[in-house]
Amino acid sequence: MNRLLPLLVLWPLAGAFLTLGARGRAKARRILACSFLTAECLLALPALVAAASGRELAFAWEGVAGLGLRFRLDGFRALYLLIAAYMWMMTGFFSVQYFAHAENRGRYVFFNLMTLSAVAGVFLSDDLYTAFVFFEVMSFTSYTWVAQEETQKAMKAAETYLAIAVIGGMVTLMGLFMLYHRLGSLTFSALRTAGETLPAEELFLPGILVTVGFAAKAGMFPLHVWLPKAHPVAPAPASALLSGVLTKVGIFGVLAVSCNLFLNRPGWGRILLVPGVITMFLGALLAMFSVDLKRTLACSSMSQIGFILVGISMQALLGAHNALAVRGTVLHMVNHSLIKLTLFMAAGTVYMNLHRLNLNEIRGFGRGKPLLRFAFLMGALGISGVPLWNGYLSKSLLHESILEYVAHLRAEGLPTGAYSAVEWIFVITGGMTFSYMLKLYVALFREKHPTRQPEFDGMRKGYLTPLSALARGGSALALPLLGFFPDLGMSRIADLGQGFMNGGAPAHPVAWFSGENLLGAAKSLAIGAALYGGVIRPLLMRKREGVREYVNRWPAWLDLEAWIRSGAVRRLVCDPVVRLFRLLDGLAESRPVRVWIPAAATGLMRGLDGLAESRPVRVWIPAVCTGACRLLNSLTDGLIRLSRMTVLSVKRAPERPPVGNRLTWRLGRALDALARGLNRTILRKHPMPTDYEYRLDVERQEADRVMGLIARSLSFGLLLLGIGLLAVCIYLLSR
Amino acid sequence: MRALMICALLLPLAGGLLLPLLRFRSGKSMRVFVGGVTLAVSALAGLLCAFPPEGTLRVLSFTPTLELALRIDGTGRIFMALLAVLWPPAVLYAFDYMEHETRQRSFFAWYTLSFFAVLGVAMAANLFSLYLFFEGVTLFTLPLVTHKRDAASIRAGRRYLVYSLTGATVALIGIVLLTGGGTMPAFVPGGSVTPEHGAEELYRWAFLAAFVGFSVKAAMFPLHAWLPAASVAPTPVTALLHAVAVVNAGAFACLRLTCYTCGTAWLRGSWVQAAVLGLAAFTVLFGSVTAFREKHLKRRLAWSTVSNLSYILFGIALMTPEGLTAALTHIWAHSLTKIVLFYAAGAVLVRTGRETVQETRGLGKRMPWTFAAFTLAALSLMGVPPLVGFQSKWNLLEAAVSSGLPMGMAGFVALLISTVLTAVYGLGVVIPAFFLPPEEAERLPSPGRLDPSWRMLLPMFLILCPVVLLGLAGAEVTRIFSEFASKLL
Repeated sequence: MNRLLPLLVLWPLAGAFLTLGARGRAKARRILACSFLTAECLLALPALVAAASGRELAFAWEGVAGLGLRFRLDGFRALYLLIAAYMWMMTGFFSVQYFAHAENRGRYVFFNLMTLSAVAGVFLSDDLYTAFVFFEVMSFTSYTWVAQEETQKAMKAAETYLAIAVIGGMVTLMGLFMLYHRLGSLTFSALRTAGETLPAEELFLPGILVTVGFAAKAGMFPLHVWLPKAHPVAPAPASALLSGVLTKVGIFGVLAVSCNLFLNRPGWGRILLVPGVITMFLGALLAMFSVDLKRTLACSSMSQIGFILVGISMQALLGAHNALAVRGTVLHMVNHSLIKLTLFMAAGTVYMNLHRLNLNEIRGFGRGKPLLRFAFLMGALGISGVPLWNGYLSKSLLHESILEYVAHLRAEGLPTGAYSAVEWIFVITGGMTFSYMLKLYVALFREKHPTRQPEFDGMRKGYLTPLSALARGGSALALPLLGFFPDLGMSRIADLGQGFMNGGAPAHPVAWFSGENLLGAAKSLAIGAALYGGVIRPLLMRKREGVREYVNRWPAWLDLEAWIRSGAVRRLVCDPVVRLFRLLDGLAESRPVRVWIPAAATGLMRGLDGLAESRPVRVWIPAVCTGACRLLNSLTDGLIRLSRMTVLSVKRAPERPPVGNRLTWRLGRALDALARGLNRTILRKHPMPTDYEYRLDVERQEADRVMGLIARSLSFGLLLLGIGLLAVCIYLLSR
Repeated sequence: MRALMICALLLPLAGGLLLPLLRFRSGKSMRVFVGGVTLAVSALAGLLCAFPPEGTLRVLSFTPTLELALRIDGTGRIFMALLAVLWPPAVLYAFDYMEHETRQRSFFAWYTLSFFAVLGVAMAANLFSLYLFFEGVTLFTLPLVTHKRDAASIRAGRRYLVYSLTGATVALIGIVLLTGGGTMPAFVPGGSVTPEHGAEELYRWAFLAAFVGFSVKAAMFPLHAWLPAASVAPTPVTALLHAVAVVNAGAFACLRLTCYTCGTAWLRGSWVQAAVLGLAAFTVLFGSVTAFREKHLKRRLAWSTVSNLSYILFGIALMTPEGLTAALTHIWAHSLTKIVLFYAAGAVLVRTGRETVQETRGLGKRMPWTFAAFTLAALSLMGVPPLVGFQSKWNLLEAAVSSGLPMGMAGFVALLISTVLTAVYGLGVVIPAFFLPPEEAERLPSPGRLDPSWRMLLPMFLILCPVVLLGLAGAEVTRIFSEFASKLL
């Protein structure tokens, strides 16, 4: 039984390659594709039965594609697998007629089956890695859906689709790395354990990164830009799948992160709530303004994804008491898939017959076509949340979960303003849903085309082949059936989803048609009717030549992508980088490097060459150098000499004059010199004697002798005086 | 058994040298000769990879410290196996591609001689032998670049020569400094060079010189410009030599230098590791951005090679077992995918004469098989699971994250951005080819399919088999490579 899981993935893949073999035989290929799709749906049934009976299948393909592929089947996965297979089968039947005269059918069929295989892979995956692998494959194969028509518009939309897918994929991969590096495993159970043990702050960044890629596929603001562009250009069966299943694949990824890594973490709920609410409201707003049938449906998808994201964030906010939010999320996913299948196939029917999607050109086409009207009406009532249809049930649950959280906050005495606002936006968005569906319904089935109405009326027969009619009717019938008997279908479906989301069981059975819920729905519907009467009719339509027509009043400058494409980003970010790189690339071969530097080097060399021969070099520099060397050489000697003269000077021995004493000798010499000088100049004729040295010495000796005499006589006198004094003393003493 | 090593080298050498001397009665008999030689060498190389002989074979001894020696070890086996797998399909492709060209004989002679040189690089047992064969690769592939003998190819050839020789010289300076003058150490896992005490900085500068010098062949910024220019060569040359053999020889030499000569203990965490990582990470981005700008198909692929070879160098420079594993995986992944991309581009060139991306628009429907191969290879290059390119990118990103270096994180971001750019420039060829109408449809030859003959298609699909199979068996491949890698550090 476990081998059923890889079979579910490989079966469509095998089918895809088999259709390649049926090249050129369109009918054989058609039969082959349809039978493979039907068989896949039949294979998914026992899986659902097994899951519903509580058996969990698991299959691990170790070592394949890197970390190995792990599959698991529980209620939610089986449910979504079945929904995917069912939708593929229905669109497969429908596309037989839709593509009857189209080109490149083989390519569509091949990639259609491939995408189913990848989608099955994502829904069955048991770790983020497996999910990511199949998710990437899905992104690339579904590209061909958007580009199928090969018109310029389609190519541009496909480009946007691919860009968002690739960038989103890379961001997710970055997050996966961080998680893998931190946890060592990417299985959902490991994520859950990590979520319970690790601090939340550490997980927010990788969690957000992983979510980005998946949320981009789901169409979350601000990565929704691809969605309103891709849906209108894709063939209708593909639009139905893009909107009904591929967005849910994205949601699956968001759920995998949210319900494991951030199980019961209010912080995560708050992070997710903001883009969720914006997506919800913005989608509805865009849908109201749109005048293109499929674009309206696409924007509506975006809005519904916003509802689902609000449900997911409520799960996280409500923590252990999140049963209502869990059930609401599951049911809204299922409902939206089924409703969009119906609506897009209706749109496909219109396009197939008229090749137009503008509301002004297709108005009145549905008149007198009861099957189309029935299918469209069921879808419109379902998605608008009219009681007794399926959309009402899921929206009520989501609405109740918001109210529950408000009540919870109030009980704890915390401010509730923001969440009350969310609740109001929720109700208003519900009303907007009603208003734009009403707009579509009135345009298609009430109004008349000003010129082509008889032609349209003539298409009453034969606008659908029996096979398409079966696909149409079957898918539409499911919606009221699910809504009329909520406990029979919806409750069970909700039970299936709980396990995957790790949600709690409801405390008491849901009162589907309680007064509160009906009041909420009534509020929404009243607002919707008011918006239709007060905004759409007067403001979004205008009368021209007596005919009221729909006009697109959405300001063009609000298109986020156009702004990015307009060149602001290119000019500000890309161009400088490219210019820098171009500069660097040229660097090694650029003029400066190739010419200037060699030229400079050559010039320098030549200059040096001449320099060696020049006079300054030959004479001055050697001279200066020699001088400097000499200077340096004598520097030490000089220092020694200087120091000897100053600090280390040796005291000279006193000079003994040859004649006389120092005074007479010096004076004599000076006088001699003076005399000699005079003799040479003035007294040349009568020279003076120049023996002052001697003469002064003689004088000195004479003076010495005289002084000696004086001294001696003085001393004699003093002696006598002394004796006299002594005699006087003795005399005085002897008396 | 060891003697087989010398046989595996002598066989292509003799074949290449004999080819101009022999007289062939027809082109066919020459092709049989070339094919036979190539197959025999590949078989020998495969045998040697499967049953590697123990020990080192000394071929020539110049001085006691300089000797030509051969040895087959783990990483050598990985590189050699790649060559053995890719060479025969490449020759098969070249037969058909070169059919209308002149001087086929000289072309195949040099082609076979290149095989000899590259095998030598894989088998070299010491730095000296590696250096000899490395120079041999330069010289033997030069005539292939200038094969057309027109002004453009001669200019490209001159540029190739100048860059390669400069690189080799710088590398030689680094080696001499590293090994203390002249003794060329044998390759030891974990390296044998330990810096002298106090001279660590000098050794790091020497390592930087040697690494940058060897990485010229792997076209790392700033010495990358020869590679895009060399794409004027005939496609078999650009495909096999400039996407696989020569550039990987450069990366392989860097690996030998880092893990077998220097050892990583004194390099890890130093500024030189940061510098090398930074250069590689920058080249990754730089190559992708330029490829994305490039309008000429083959040159775009060449720029992509610049980027991808730096993935490998980045892995080596991380100097962790994970990084080396990733580098070895990427050597395989990139070679297998890039050669197919070049083959497809060459097939378009031969069949329609169209060279730019603009001109290949709408050809997908006229050449479905060629572009199917191109698409699959481009997806692998982008790293779309479950192809082999995804595995190597995953390994590389994981290694970058787990290295814990700031430059590792910078490289991580560079790799992711480069992946997005790879998607843009890869799909920028694929999508217009399939979804847009052809340019000047009336100037295309005869209506109907334009796919080339089986001799050109078969190599593409032969090589695509491992792209898918190795991708599916990615974990096993990683395990084997990580076993080799874990012994190195």
